[in-house]
Amino acid sequence: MKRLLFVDDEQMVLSGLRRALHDMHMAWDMTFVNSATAALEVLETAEYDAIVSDIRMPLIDGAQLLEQVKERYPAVMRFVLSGQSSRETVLRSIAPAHQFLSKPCDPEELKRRLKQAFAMRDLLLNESVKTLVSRLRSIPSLPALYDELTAELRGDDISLTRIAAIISRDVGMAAKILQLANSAFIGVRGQVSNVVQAISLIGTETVRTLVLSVHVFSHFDRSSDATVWLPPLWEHSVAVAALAQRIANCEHATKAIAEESFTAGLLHDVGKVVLLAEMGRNYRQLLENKDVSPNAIADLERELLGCTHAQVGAYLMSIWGLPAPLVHAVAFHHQPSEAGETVFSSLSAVHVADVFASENESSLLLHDVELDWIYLDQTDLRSRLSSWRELQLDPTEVEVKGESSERKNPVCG
Amino acid sequence: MMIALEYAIKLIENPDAFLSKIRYLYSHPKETSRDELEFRNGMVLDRYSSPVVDKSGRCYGRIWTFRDITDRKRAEDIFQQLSLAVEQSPVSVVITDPNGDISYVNRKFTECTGYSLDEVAGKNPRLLNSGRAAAETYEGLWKAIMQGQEWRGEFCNKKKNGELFWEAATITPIKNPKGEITHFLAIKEDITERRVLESQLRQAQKLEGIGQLAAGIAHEINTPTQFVTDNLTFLRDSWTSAYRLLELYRGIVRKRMDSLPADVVASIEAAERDCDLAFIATEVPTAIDQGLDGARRVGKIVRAMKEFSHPDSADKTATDMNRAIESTITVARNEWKYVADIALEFDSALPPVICYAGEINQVILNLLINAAHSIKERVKEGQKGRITVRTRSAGPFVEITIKDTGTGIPEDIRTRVFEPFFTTKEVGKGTGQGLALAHSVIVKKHHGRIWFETEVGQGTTFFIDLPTNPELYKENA
Repeated sequence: MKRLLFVDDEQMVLSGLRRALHDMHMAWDMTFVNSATAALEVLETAEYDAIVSDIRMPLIDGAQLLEQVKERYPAVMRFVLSGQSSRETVLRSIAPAHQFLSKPCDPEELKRRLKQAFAMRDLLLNESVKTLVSRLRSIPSLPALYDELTAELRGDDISLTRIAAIISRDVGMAAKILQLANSAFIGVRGQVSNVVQAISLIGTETVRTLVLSVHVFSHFDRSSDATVWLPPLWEHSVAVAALAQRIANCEHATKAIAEESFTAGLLHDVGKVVLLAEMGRNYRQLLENKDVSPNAIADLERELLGCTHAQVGAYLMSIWGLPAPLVHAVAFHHQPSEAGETVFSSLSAVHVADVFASENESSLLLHDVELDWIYLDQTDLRSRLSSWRELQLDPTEVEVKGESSERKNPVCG
Repeated sequence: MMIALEYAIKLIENPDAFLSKIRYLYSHPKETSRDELEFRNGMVLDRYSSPVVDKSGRCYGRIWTFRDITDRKRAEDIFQQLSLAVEQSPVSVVITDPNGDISYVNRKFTECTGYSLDEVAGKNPRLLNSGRAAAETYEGLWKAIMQGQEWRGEFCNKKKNGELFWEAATITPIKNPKGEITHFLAIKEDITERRVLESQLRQAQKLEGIGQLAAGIAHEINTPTQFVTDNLTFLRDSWTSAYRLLELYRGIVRKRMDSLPADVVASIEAAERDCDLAFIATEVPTAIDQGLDGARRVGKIVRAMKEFSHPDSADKTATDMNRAIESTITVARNEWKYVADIALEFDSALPPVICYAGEINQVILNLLINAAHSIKERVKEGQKGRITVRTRSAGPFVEITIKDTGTGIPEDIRTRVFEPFFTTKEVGKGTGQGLALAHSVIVKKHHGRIWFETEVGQGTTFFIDLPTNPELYKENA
């Protein structure tokens, strides 16, 4: 049973939601309160899984409420459901919220979003990890890329192409920009999996405000011990992204699937980035293990955290409202057979690209995965491996710093 | 003599020329000569020298005459300066006689209107009249200047090539010492560009106002829309399951009818008749679905209003043109629904266009309104025309066409429809800015193209090509 708390100063909205969500009453225990003060009182008495709050309310508004919830009950998933459309309010409430939904929101859509987030939450058994992930405002970026982006945004002539080239090379920025673009306020129908599309939907001027004034991005501490680990992990992520996109193209997947494969590849190890940033030395020591089977990482992570980096990443991506295929690819990139799919998808592309791109590495930071033969047989893709292996990447293509080179799509059978 | 000469030489601006002239004249005793001598202190003398000759032709010497012409020279210089100043002035200058017939126009006037002095001399400035200013303006003007007062105002005039332009004019009567009006002086400045900017600014402000209002109203409407939707969704689901239960009960009751007391059977039958269960069974779900549809439509209109005015963005954003056009059509519904049906032929795979969405929406709105007005002029009472809006992906461009079954554009004005202030609508109705604005938004701001095809009596089709990424297009161009 999940516990949900709905907050809105308009009693009629609460009654409406109570009725429209009534069919979930076997799975959800729902509480409805009409003020932020009442919400905080209720949170004292029981442990909740999610809060869905309006923004404009008297005394304490929704943004303040969610900020307090984040501080006091970080494990609670925070959703906004607002009829407010002024940009300023929306931007202010994005910071403490995981997802922003605008009124009128079809009850089915509300249910779908909540269910997706709950599904990934169930994979995380460890409370402290749940708390750690839910509390995150941003995933730290590579300092060099962060500097490159802020320099570009401070310039007079902001170029969408250049901004996109920087953000597409950074795990943290790419994930955050997709969270923002998939927030309802941007006003797209359907979901956004493509970083370039996400940036252009938000608009370069707004990206500038968000980055320079609202500080939606952050970066690793330059003096942190983690910094030596970052460049290889970033290069690996960009390489998997590029290779996954090529594999999708090679399979004559649609342009949308190919672009989704790129993003899924870029984000597949987002859980590792989070754990490197939040768990410090313990997690780094785990990754330093050499000469162990790549598959050992799952056991080692479970021993340390009670869950794997794939689950951590997938949970964060799901509460941020990223499209389900991306969340799936992040969640199952090690053991895709667990996803129960039988056809080629971005998950297939990311799994195989991850294996190919890490074969020659020695530490668990990168070499942590082997081909899932059960999955390849389920999906009938085993015979395609030799063609995919030929899609070798030129090392200059995975350069993380400096201008990204254009990705060529070789012809393949 | 020599002493006087020596003294004078020191004061002369150019003594060598003067001395050589003297020497020359004394060696050519029969010549007469005249010139002007300039002194260092600014004095100018008229010098005249003629030989003194008797009847037999014998020379006795020369007479030198010097006359002070300093004042006359100064007056001439000032006149020269003034006339050059007027001629080369950066504003148009027109001088007329008291009847209003033109006696002088300067170079700027010719540059601006295309008419030379020869073409307009003796004519009335009325020849510039575009017919777009109110008659009262001219009455007021004449009344003021005939009473000897200065008049200031703005006109919309027409150039020799037919182009319209706006000028700000100051007209002053010029009087002689007796106080009689001898001329009128008009000083005029071309303010077309300023007018265009002002009108665009007004438009933008209007849009911004609508945007702010829409955002405020949106919140007020979205809240009730949310609970109307929620309640109807609940009713729909509850009705379905409650009706399923009712059918179950009815089935059981019908089977057991025989074993029930007669009065119970009678009251069941009466109640079923009263509530017309068959009608309710079909109408309740329909009623709820239509209620939901209505709520969705309200939501759509609110969203369309917000999207049309785009209050949030002074910034280029990736825009789904199909959706933007749909929003614009929704907000402009009142303009077209009585005169035309709209057919949408949208390319569902249209790539997003990076653009100033608010401005593009305004362009689409202007074209829609023009189409509707043109149809209105043509169709008879009770009939409707058709506006077809099509989008198509064409390489690096998104092509938008808006086709109407209106009057078409007459041949003689086809080249002029994109000119600022050009309008076929009555004075005071159209601003003459719609298409000029469209042209500037599409071509200047988005590096796109706009053109039209038209046939009188058949209708007009406007075509817009927008580069999906104007930034790249600019770089490649």
